[in-house]
Amino acid sequence: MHFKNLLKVSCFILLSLFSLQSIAQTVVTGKVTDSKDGSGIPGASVVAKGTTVGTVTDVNGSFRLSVASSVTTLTVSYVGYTTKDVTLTGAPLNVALEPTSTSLNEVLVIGYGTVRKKDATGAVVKVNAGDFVQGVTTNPLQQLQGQAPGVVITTSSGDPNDAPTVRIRGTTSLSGGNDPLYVIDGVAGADIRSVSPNDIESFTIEKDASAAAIYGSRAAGGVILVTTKTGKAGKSQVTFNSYVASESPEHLIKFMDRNQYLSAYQDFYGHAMPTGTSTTSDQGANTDWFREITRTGFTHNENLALSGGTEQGHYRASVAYTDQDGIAINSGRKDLYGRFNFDQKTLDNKLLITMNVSGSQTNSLFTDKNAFLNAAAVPSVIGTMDPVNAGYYQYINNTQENNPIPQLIYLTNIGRQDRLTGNLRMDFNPIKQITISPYVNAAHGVNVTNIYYPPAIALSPVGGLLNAVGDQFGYTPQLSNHGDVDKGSSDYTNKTYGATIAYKDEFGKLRVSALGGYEFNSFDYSGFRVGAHDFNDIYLPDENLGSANSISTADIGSDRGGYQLKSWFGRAELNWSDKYYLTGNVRYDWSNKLGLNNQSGVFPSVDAAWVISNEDFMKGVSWISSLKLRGGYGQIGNQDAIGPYLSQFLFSSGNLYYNGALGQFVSSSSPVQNQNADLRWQVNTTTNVAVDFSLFNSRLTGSLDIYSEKTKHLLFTYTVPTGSTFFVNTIVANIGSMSNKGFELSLNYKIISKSDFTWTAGGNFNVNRNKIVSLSGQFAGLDFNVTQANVGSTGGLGISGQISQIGYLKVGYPIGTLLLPEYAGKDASGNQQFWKYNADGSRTAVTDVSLLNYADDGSTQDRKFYTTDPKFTYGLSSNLTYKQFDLSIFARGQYGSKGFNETYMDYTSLAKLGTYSVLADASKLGIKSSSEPSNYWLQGTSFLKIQSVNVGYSLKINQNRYIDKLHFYVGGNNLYTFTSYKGVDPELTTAGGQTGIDSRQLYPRSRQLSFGVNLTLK
Amino acid sequence: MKKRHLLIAAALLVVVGTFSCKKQLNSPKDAVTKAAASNSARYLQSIVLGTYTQLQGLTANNAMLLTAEETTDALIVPGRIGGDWADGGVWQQLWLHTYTASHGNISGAWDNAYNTIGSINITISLLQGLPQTDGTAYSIAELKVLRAYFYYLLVTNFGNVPLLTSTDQDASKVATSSAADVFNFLVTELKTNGPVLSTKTPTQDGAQYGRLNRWGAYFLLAKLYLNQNVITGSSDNSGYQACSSYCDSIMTAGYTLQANFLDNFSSSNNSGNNENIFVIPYDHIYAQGLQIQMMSFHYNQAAKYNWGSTGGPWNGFCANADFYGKFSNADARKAGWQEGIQYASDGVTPLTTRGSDSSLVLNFRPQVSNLYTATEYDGVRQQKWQLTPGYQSQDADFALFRYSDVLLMKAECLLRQGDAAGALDYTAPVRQRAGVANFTIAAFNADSLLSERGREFAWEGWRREDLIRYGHFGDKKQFKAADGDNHTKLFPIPTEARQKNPNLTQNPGYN
Repeated sequence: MHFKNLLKVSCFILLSLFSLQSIAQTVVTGKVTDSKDGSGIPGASVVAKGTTVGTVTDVNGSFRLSVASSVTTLTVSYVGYTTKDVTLTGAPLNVALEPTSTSLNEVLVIGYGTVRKKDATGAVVKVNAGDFVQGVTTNPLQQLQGQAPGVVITTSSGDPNDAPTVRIRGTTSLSGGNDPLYVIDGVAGADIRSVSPNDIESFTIEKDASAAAIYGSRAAGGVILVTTKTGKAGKSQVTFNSYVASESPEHLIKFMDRNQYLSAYQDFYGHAMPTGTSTTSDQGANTDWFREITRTGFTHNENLALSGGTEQGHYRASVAYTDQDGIAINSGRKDLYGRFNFDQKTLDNKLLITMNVSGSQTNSLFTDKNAFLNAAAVPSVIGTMDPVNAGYYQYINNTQENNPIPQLIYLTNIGRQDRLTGNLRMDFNPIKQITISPYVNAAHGVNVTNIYYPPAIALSPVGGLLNAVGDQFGYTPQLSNHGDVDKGSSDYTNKTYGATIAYKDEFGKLRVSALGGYEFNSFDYSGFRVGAHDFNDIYLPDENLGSANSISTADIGSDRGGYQLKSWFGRAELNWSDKYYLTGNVRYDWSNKLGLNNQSGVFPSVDAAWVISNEDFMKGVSWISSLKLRGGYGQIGNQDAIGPYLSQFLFSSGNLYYNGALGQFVSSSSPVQNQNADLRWQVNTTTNVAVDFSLFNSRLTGSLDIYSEKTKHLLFTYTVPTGSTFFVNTIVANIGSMSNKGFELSLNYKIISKSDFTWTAGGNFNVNRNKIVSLSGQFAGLDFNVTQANVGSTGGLGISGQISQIGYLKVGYPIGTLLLPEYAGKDASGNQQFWKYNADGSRTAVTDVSLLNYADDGSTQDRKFYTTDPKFTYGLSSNLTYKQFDLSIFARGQYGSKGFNETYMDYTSLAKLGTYSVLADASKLGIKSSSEPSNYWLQGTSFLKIQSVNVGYSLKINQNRYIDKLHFYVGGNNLYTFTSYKGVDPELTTAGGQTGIDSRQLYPRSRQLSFGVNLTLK
Repeated sequence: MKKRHLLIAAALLVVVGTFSCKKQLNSPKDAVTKAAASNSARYLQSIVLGTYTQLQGLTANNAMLLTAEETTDALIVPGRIGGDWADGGVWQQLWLHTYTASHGNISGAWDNAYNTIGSINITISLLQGLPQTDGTAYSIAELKVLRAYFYYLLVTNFGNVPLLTSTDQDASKVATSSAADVFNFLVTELKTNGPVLSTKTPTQDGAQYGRLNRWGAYFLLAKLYLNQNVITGSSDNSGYQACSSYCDSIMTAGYTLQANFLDNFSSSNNSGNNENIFVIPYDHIYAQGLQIQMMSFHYNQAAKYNWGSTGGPWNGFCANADFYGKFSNADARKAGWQEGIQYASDGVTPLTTRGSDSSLVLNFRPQVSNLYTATEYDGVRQQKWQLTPGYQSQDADFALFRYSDVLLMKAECLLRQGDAAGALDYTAPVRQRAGVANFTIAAFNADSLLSERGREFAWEGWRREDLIRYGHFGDKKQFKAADGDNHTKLFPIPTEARQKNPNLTQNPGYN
C-alpha cells in the first residue's frame, strides 16, 4: 500500500472512531470536598479537560456530569482551592481539593487591609487553621507554638492560668512591651484570650518593621493579626467539635525516697536518722510529695458553630466552653466564649457592613506555685498528716517550706474575667477605585479576684498551715490567725474609632494602591481592692468584709487612669507587571503617656520586592515555580513599655504613721516617682532581606529571611542618687540600645501528593543573636555609665543578698547572662570549691565563698559571665493522609542553650539531710558542704519536644442528607522531651530582661492525651 | 462633586487631628502631681508624715541600725550548720570587720538615709512654696531636725558624706563634705530649728508621739557633742561640756524613767510611756517593720508563738557568751534575752532542734561554737521588744531616743571631765531601775560605763559609736583578732553610690 493511502485510511478510521466515541456518552458522578476538613464544596466547577463541557457542584459538593466517553480527565476548580485534574475510573469520584492557603494566591490580612501573598513585600507569615498545633490548645497562642519561624511562644508553666510569652525575633525591650500587638478582626490592642481557639481561621504575623510600621508605636513586639472564621456563601453548616483530655506531669525530678534518704542519712552522719513525730525526724513515712500535690487532670472542650451565607452576606455564630484542670490539686480554669460575626452588602453592593460581637468569661482557680518549692523541700520520711493530732494535715515548721497540701486545699484563690468586644465597620465603594471605611470598636473587661484564708484554728490545732501569697494585684497580706479576706476588682474600657480611605487602580502594567487613615484610641481603667483581717473563726470562703475585726487603710486601695493615642497613617503600594513592587508605610502617633518633650513620633517603613520568576529570562526555568526577592527597612515604637503617668513627678499614699493626737495610725503620702519630661518611645529599626521560593512544581516552598533589628532609646530603670534632684532612687529613661540579628528559614515539601495519599513535611529554623549594645549615656544632664545591672536572683537556704544575685544584663552580652563563681571541684571532704583569682592571675581553690570578691564591675575574675541563650531553635512537622486516615506530628526544639538549675543547686547538699529533702542524684554527687551558686549548676538545656501527635480517621459517609463529615482523632500534646537537662523542663521562661535561671517554684508543664470528634452537619 | 466632598472631609480631619495633638500631660486621677500637692497645706502635712514613715525601714535586718550593731560585740549572726545564714558571708563580714564597699547591707543603709533626705528636701521646698505661716515654719523646722537625725546616722557611720539640703543641688555631682563640716552644719541646723519645736513631751501632748520635738533636737545635739572628738578629730572637753548642758536642758522637760525597764519595749509602749523621747511607732497590722523576733528566734518556736503562717522565725541574730556575760543574774535587763530550754505552748513539752540534731532539746546557750557552722541552739536570743504572737511584725514601738540615755550621757560627760562622783548620781537611777547596785566610786571607770551602755541599749543602734568613742571598736573579740588599723571605724562609701556620683571620696582603707 502506498504511504499516502495508508495515511488516508488511517485518518478515516481515526475520524470514524472519534465520531463514534463523540456520540458515546459517559455519566460521571462524584463529590468535591475540602481536603482539610472533608466537607463538601458547593459551586465548584467540574469540566471535562480540554472541552467546555462542565457543571458545578450542588450544595453538598456533589456533581453529575455527562461527558463523551473519550474524556479521560476532569478538571475541578474552585476559588480558594488548587485546581486539580482527576482521571476517570468509572467509579464515583471523590475529589479532595487542597485549599490554596499555602499557595501564592492566598490573601494576607495586613494592617488596615489585605494583600495577595504573592504581592507581599514585608516579613509576613500566615498560619492557617489547618496548620495549627492540634489537640489540647486552650489558649489560642498554643495553636501557633513553633509553627512560624522567628515566633517563639513559651508557656510559662503548666498552670492553665498562666499566659504564654511570645517573642517575635527575640527580646527587643528590657522594660516590658515585648508582647506583640494583637489585632483581632481589625481590632487593635485586643486581648488574645477573648477569642476561642476554635473560632480562629488564621494568624498573620508581621515580624519586621516594614510590615508592622502601619501600627506605629504599638508594633515593636511585632503584630499578630487574628482572623476569625466567617460563613461561606451557599454553604450553611453546623459544626461541632469536642475533645476530652487527660493532663499529667510530663516529667518530675526524682527526690530520694524513704530508703534512699535513710541510707544517705546513715552514710552522712554515721548514725541512723532518729525516729519521732517532729518534722525533722523519721516519721516512718515514704511520701512522694510531688505525687501528693499533683493529679491527673481532666480537660474537655466543646464548640458549636452555625454558619452560612449568600453572595451578599455571611454569618457565623459560635459558642465554646473549655474546662481545664491543672495538674496541681485544686487548680484549674474554665472559659466560656460566644461570638457572632455578620457581614452584609447593601446599596447595590456598594456598602459592606461588618459586625463582630464577642463575649467571654474566664473562671480561674489559682495555685500558689510555692507548693512546688515546698514539695521539693520536705523529705520523703515526713508524712502529710499530723502524727499527733489525727485527722489534720501536718504543720511543717522549717524555715523554707511548709506542707504544700493544705496550702493548695484550704486556700481559696479565685478570679473571674469577663470580656465583651464589639466591632462595627463599613466599607463603602462610591466608585470602583475607592473604598471609604469608617470603623468603631470597643472592648470592656472586668477582672474580679477573691482570696480567702480560713481561720487557722479551723484547719489544725497547731495552726500555721497557710502561708500568705500575693494576689493578682501584687499585694501580699499579712496573715492573721483568724481568717483573712482579700477582694479586688478592676475593669477597663478600650475604645477606638477611625476611618480609612483606600484607592486602588491599574494603569497598564502599573498597579497602584494607597491608603490613608486616622484613628483615635483611648484606654481607661479603674480598680478597687480591700484586704480584711481577723474574722470570728468561721470557715466562710465568701466572708463578708464588713464582719472583719481589723481593716487597715493600707489594705484598701483604688485606682483609676487611662491614656489616649491619636494616629495618622498611610500606605502606598506600587506593582509593575507583578515583577517589581514598592511599598511604603508611615504612621504618626501622639500619646499622652510620654514626657512633654517627646509626645509624638513618626514611624516610617519602605520595602521592595522583585519577582524574578516573572521575568522573561526565567521562562525556560521550569523547576522554579516562583522566586521572589524582597527587602525592607522600617521603624516601630514601643507603647506598652510605658505606663500612663510614667513621665510625671507623683505623690501617692504610702505607709501609715501614728497620729498621737488621734491615737491611731493614719495615712501618709510620699513621692513615688521622679519626673522625666524626656520620656519617649523606644524605637526599633529593622532591616530585612528575604527570598521566597517555590520549586519543582510548587512541591518545595519556603523562605529565607535575614534580619537586623536595633532598639534605640532603650528603656531601662536606672538607679539615681537621691537626696536632691531625685526623690526616688530609680528613674525610667531612654538611654541605651540593644540589637537582635538573625535569620529564619522555613521549608515545606510535598513528598507525596495523590488523591488518597498525601504527605507533607515542613520545618523551620531560626537563629537569633541578641546583644545589649549600650546602657550608658546622658540623661537630664547626668552621665550614666552602666556596664552591667543585676536583674535576676536565685535563692535557697543561706543564699541571699549578693551571692544570690546571679542574673545580669551585661553590655556586649545577650539577655540571659549569668554571673557565677567558677566551680573548682570538691575537696577530699566533699566540700565544694571555687576558684579565687589573685592579682597576678593565679588562682586558688577555696571552699569559703565569703573569700570571693563579689564585685560585678569586672574588677575581679572570681565571678565570670556566662551566656545561656540558644544557638538556634527549630520546628519540624509532618502531615500525612492516607485514605480516611490522617496523621500529624509536630516537634520543636532548641540547641546550645543553658540553664541555671536552682533545684539541683539547692537540693544536692548532703548537709541538708535531716531537715530538707535531697535529690536522688545527691549521693552520686557527694557534695557535703552547703549549697552555693556556681557555674557547676549551669546545665545544657538543648531539647527536642514532641509537641503534638494526632491520628485521625474520617468516617466514610455515604451520600446522605444530614452529615457532611465525621472525624475522630486521638492525640497527645507535650508528649516527650528529649534532653540531657536534669531539671523539670529545659524550656525556661523569659521575664523582662531576665532568663536562664530555672526557679524551684516551677509548675511543671503537663502532658495531654486527648480524644476528639469533629462533626459537620449539612 | 463627590471628590470635592471627600477632600473637604479629609481636610477637616487633618485640621481636627492636628489641633488635638498638642502637648498635654495625662493627668492622673489616683495620684497627686507636684503642682496639685503644692496647693494643699493639708496634703503637705500628709507628706510630712510620709517622710516619718521612712523610719519604719530603719530596723530591718539590713538597714542602718542593725547593720551598725552587727559590727559590734553585741550582735552576732553566725552561719548555721546546713548553710542557713551563710549568704556568702555578708553577716560574718560585719562581725569580722572585713566589709567592703560592695557590701549590700551597707549600701542599703546609705540608700535608705538619702532616700529619706530626698523626701524631706522636696517636702521642705513644697512647704516653702506655700504662703508662710507659723504652721509652715514649724513643719520646715521639724523636717530639718528629722533630716539632721539621718545626717547624724550618716556622719557617725560613714563620716565624710555629701551634704544634700536642697532640691536644686545635683546629687550626682555634690562632693563629699568632711565629717567636721557635717558636724558644724548639724549643730547650726539643730540650734536654729530645735527651739522652734514644741516643748511638750508625748505624755503632755499626745500629738508629739512619734514626732521630733525640741527635746529630740537637743538629744541629737547632745549626741553630736558627745561624739565631737570622734567626728571632728578634736581632743578637748568642749564637746562634753556642751553635751552636758543639753542633757541638763532635756532633764527639765519632764521625762522620767519607766519603773520597769521592759516597759519601754512592750507592745503597749505607745501609751503612758514617759521615758521614750522619740520612737518609731510600729504595729503588727498598720505599721509593719519591726521583725527582730523573726530574725532571732529558732524555727521550731513558730508553733509556740503562732508564727507558722508567717514562714519563720529564722534562727539568725543572737548574742554570744562574752556579751551576755555582761548581764548579772540580778539585772532586770537580762530578761530581755532568751536562754535555756524552750518549751512548746503548753509550757511543758520541750522543743527540739531539727536537722541532724533533731533528737536534741532546744536549749539556747550563750556559746557560739563557730562563726560559720554554729549549732541551731548557739547564742542567746533577743526578746526585749515584746513578742507579738501570730504576726511577723511586732507591735512594740522602737525607741530611738530614750531618757535613760540622757542620764548616761550626762554621767559620761561628767566622768570624762573628771567628776566620777557626780557621774554616779546619773548612773544611779539607771542601775536602780535594773535592780542592781550602783557602781562604787572605786570600781567606776570608762569601761564600766561602756558596759552599762551595752546592757541598757543592746541592739538599739548605739553600740558601734559607743565602742568607737571608748576606743574599743577594733578590739579582739571571739573569732576576730584586733583590727590592724582604724579604717573600719567608718563604713566604706558604697560602690554603687560612687558610681552614681563620681565626686564622692572613698574613706581611707577602702577601694
